[in-house]
Amino acid sequence: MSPKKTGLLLIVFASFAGLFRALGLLVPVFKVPFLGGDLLGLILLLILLGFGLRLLFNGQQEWQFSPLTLKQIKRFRSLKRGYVSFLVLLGLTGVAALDNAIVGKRALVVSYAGQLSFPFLKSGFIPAKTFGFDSEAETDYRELQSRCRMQNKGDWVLMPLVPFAAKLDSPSIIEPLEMREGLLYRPGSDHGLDATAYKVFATNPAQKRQEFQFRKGVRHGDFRGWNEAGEHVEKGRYEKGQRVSYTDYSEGKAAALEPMAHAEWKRLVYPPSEPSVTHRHFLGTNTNGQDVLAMLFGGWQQAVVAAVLFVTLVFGFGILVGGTLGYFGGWVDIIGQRLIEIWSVLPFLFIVAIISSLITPSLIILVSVLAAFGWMGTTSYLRTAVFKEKARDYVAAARLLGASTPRIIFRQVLPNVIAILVTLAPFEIAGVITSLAALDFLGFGLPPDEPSWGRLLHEGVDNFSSPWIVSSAFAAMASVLILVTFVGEAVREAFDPKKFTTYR
Amino acid sequence: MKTSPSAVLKLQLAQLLPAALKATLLICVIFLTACSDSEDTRFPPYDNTSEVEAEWKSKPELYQFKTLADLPADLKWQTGLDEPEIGDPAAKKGGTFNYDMPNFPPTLRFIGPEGSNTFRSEHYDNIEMATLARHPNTDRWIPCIAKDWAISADRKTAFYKIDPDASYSDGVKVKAEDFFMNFYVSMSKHAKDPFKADYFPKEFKSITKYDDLTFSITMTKVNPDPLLIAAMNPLPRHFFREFTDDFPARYQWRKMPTTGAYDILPEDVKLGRSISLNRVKSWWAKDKKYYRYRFNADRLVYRMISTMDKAFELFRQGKIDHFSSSAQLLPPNFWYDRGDVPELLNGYIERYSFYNQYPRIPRCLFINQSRPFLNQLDIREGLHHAFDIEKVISVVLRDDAVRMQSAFSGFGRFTNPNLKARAYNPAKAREFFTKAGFTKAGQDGVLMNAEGKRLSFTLSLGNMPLYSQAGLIWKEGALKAGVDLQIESLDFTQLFKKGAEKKHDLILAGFGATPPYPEFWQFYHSDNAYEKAADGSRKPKVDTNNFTQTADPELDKIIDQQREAPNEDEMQRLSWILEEKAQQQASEIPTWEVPLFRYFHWRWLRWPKDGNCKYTREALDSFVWWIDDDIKAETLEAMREGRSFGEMSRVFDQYQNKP
Repeated sequence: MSPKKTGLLLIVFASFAGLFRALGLLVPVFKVPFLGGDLLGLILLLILLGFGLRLLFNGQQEWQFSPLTLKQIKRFRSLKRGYVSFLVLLGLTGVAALDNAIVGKRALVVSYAGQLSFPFLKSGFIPAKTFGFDSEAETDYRELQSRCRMQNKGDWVLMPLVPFAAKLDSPSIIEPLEMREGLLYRPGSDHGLDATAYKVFATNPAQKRQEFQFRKGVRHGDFRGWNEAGEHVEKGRYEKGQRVSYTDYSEGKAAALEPMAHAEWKRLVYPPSEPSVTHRHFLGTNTNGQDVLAMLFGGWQQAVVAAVLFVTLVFGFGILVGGTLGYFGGWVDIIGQRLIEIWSVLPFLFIVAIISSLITPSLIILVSVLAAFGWMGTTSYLRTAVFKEKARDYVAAARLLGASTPRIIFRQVLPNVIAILVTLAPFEIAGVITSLAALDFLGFGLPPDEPSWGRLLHEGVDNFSSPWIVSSAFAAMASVLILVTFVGEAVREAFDPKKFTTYR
Repeated sequence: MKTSPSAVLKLQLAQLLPAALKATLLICVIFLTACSDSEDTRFPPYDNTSEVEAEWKSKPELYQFKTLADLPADLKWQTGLDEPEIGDPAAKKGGTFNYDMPNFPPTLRFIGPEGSNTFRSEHYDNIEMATLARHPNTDRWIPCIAKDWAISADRKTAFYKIDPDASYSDGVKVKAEDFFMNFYVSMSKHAKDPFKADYFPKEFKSITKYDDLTFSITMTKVNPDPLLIAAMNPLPRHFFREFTDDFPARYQWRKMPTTGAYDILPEDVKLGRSISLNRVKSWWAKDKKYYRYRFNADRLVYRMISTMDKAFELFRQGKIDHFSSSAQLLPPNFWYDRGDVPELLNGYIERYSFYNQYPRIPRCLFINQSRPFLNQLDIREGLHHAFDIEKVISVVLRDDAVRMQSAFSGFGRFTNPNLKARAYNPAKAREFFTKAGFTKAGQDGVLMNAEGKRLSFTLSLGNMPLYSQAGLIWKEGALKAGVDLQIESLDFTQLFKKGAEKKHDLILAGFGATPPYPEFWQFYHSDNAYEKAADGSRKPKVDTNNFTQTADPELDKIIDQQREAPNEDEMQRLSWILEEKAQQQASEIPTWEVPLFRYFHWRWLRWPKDGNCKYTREALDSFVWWIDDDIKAETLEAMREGRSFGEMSRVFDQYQNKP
């Protein structure tokens, strides 16, 4: 893609992003610049716009990279493992950017009473009253979908692929049961039910009528019954299908309630529930009832944001401090090094634990704390690199020619140390994802309502009898870290000045 | 030069010999020092008899010595022997009971630093005998150490006649002066127990000896039931002879000779691993009514097992005989999901639920009325309707618990039966919020008032998985009502600290509930809410249990009356009024109560036919159970052969509160 085309693309993206924001729409990929708030988003848009305009009007026909850079890129592409991993990660980041469109509890399209609406685009919510429910809170689109299907009036709802939100979304799973030849079965199962099943009122599906304990498909155990107002009216016990005791608390009125029950037997599936396609929980639910796939998606979005933020902060700091120490040397270097030493002795985990217990950290605060304790490594690398570059002839030449210090640093030295930063980046990313997951695992990280891989792992380890939780979280973390490590290795090898090193 | 092999060998041996010798000597030294009985020279012998006597002489109003002639003539002595027997006559004595404990106790003391630990109930609270005991089925007084008792006409003094048979496990008889020793130890600064040191002088005016087996205790004020306040156990003077200023360290692992049925021998305390209790074969009460069919097992072994998962697996293997929990916190998934194991389906393990009557822990969401907006009644009432407690009970607690209707449940006649908790109803909640001025909904669904302030509060919870799950359900439910809840998950120590500092908005906390009377002063009196700051304004008083910051002068008056209630009818009347007022001011949202306890055990652990006693908090407390070794042998054989006894799962609901 030529520079002019890239510039055009950037301008188009920036203008659309601004337009959608002005209209109050939250379109998946275009809302990314505004993740940090309006002001930051505006600044980012202006930067993108400026960049795009520059490329469009000043840009050349082809990208003009230095021969060294071209060679490095070519070498990177030839390392299939790393290159493919890179493309996969890029694809996954794109999927993360799609956000609401594939994972969310807001419907994509709703056709109600002949009118189309697109709930997932709106920044506000559509109250349930609009669709005929009697609540002022946000519409439950899944409920709307099942009601539309039942009523068959031509209304329809299109939900995303995974119709659950990553945060605070734990709907109860109700499973309808089948009665075959007098025995109650779970759909598709061939041995009788060993659980509690209930019937609801035909006119008020939110109220249970009677609830029985079943063993091997027959009633066996306690049962309770309620009236329409929700009061407990009867109680009894069954043994192997025969009623052995019965108490009526409502002076005989309980019998009249019998015909008011809906014919279908239902069962409440308690969390954590196993993966099931019928309920659209493709990887099951965790102990709170939240969909595991949605949480993995949410966690991946957090990881991407954390990685970008962390790398920006650490590199920014690293360049600033490392560049200063490396270039100026002497006393600046000695004092700076001592300060860095003092800072690196601070016990990172304890301080994070203390901060976590004083305030409830958000992602940004957590990443800032991680960056505050992780910038030392990059700084040391950059300091060494700048030392090395400063001793080279071209820097001396520039100084002889009268170039000012900032000019030398920014235009001569820094471009040559970028290679180190590029090589470090994938490993920093792997590091921050691991640290974040570790903090969440220990309970010091994000609050419990935010999706995170570490917390999912912790829950999975506490609930080994529900193996889908731990295996999903582990597989997600392991694959992402493996991919990132492959990319890192490929980048390191691509940027290696020697053609063959001991790694090959 | 060639050296012969034997010479080489000899040379090598000669070189090795000094090293080998040194090694052997080293091993011997280590062995001997480890084996030898090291004298604990930290605690030189001490005899405080003269000190104690001097103390008693120096406080003649507190420690009174009289003769039998000074006993009032008009006392109506009671024996309490006409209550129904406790336990099952078919109980067999003998057998070993294996149980687990989650942590090893820090001390065997029952007073002083760390004296209140969870293990204390196993060797002290449930075992030691006091002057009188409560019948666990009828809730009336029965004889214990005291054979007869009487109350003075002014209801301030309780008289006791000690049973002549009463003695400690080492054979020494119980005398009246042992109760004097209780006063001495509790009030002494050596015990380092500030609560007792404060409580005794406040509640007791004097203890009087009439003869070796007769004494009385006089209280400072009239109580509805003086016998309750005067209930205390004797402390053996010969054991506490070395009680001095190094008491906590000196007595750290010394077990007091007990008047109860079980004693701990020094060799049975394996630090960090297990503690075993042995039945006192010559127990003085073993043939007395109320005690002869209880305390049946010969040996109780408590093994330290830190996680419930591990405990459950050991239970399945038969290494632990009983699986239950303390404080009714058995997670529902053990009962419902993990309980259907083959051992249960074959009947080797039995499963029971028992509905009991015991004051419930008043676990409530306390609303801090000193915070902005929470001082408005409409907002508080709206919040009541915005918490989906019912969903938490049905999904997280699997309907094990029931909705607690008020914060004072389980106090029998002192609980107002007419109070009902407010149910989850988002529409009603929104009505209340509209009345309070929160009419517009923001983009995220949270209501805002005219000034643009969002209806958002912080909910502080303890970091137990159960509470975290509940918190998320509440947050989701509250959003439907237009309220934003910021969940704050804290360590329990920090949670109570935050509550005590009155910095919370809403906090989920539960306080220990002691029978028999509900307490209002610590929770609702304005003395515990505010204090005067240096500049004359009022600021929240810290370190009190008034988490709702209730400060109502009218309520204060009634609370003061209730504390001084002269008899139980007045106590009931005032308690009902206070509970209704507390309900009306909507300052705490009652959550749930668990009206039963559940337990699994191996079938060789036997119980009376009606399951257990009414007023027990946990299954084992009443000691009416026994181990049947014949059934144990039969069960082990059946397990080897693969025979099934049929699933045994029962509910004892004879004491349940009918809806």
